[in-house]
Amino acid sequence: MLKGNLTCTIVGKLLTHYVEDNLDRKCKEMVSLHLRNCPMCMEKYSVVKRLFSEAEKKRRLIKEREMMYEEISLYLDGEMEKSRITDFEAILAKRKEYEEALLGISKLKRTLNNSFYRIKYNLDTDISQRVMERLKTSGFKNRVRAAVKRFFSCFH
Amino acid sequence: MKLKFKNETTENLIQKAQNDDFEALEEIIRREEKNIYATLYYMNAKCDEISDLVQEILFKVAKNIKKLKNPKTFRAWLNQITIRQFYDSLRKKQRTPIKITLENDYDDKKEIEIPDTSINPMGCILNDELDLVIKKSIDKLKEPFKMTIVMRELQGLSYDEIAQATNSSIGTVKSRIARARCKLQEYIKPYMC
Repeated sequence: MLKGNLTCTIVGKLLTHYVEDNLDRKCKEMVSLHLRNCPMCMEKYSVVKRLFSEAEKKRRLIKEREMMYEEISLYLDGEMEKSRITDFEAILAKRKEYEEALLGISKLKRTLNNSFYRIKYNLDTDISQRVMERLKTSGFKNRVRAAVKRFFSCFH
Repeated sequence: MKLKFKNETTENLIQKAQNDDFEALEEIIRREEKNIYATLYYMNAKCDEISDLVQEILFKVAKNIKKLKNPKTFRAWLNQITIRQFYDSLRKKQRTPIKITLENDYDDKKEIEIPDTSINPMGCILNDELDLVIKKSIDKLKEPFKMTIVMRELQGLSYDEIAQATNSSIGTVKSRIARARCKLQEYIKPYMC
C-alpha cells in the first residue's frame, strides 16, 4: 500500500536500517510518515525493535561478564595496578556475582595447573642431550668448513 | 640435573651461555624442554611430531642464544620461536599430501602415554580422565586464545611477556585470557568437583 510515498514492501526492507538509525534524514521522515499511517508496518516495526533491544541487552550482559572476568583474571594473576586493588576488593566484598566468579576462576586455575604439572613432570625426554650433540657436531662441521675455505683461499 | 647450576637463575645461566659456557647452555635447554614439550602437547601437535619440533626449537634457541640482547626477555623470545616453529610445521603439513597406509597398527590420533606415579588407582584414572578433558577443551578454543591460555597457565608467563611473544598489545592479551577462561570454565565445569 502506498502511504507517505513508500510501499509496504520497501518499508519492510528499510525497517532494520530504520531501527538501527542508519537512514538519512529524508528517508527517515518518509519511513516514519508511512509507519504513522500503516498499522501493519507499525506492528512489524515494534516486533523488530523489540528483537533489536533484546539482542542489545544480551550483548551488553556478555560484555559486562567479560569485563568482570578480565578484572578478576588480572587480580588473580597479580597483574592488577596497585591503585586499583583496594577499589576492586571493595567491589568484591559488595557484589556476590564477583565473589562467585572469583571462586570459579581460581578453581579453574588450580585444576589446570595441577593437570599441567602432572603432564609436565611425568614426561621423560632426552631431547636436550640430542640437541647438544647436534650443536657440537654442527659447530665441528662449521670449523672444518672454515678451515677448508681458508686452506683453498691460500692458493688464490 | 647438574648440582653445579641448581641455584642459578636462568638469567645468570644465559649470561654464562652467551660467554661460551656449554654446560650452562645445556642446563637452560634442560630446564625449558618440558615446558615446550607440554605447550606443544596442549597445542595439539601430533605426538610423533612433538619431539622433532621441540628438538628444532631448542636447537634454534641454543644456536641463537648470543643474539638475545636482554636476558630478561628470554621466555618471551623462546615462546616467539615456539609459535613460529609450530605454525611453520602446520603450514608445511598443509602442503604435504596425506599418506594412507594399509598397516593395521597405524594410529593417527594416538595419545602420548604418560606414566602416573601416584599410588591410588582410582585417583589415577580420574586424573587421566580430567587431563584428557582439559586437553580436549583447550583444543576447542580458537587459535590465539589457545596459545595465550597455555602460555599463561602452563608456563606462567606474565601478560607483558605473552604480549611480546604473540606480537600483540597487553589489552588484547587481557581480553584473550578472560575469554579463554570463560569458555574453559564452561567446558570443564561438569568435571570439576
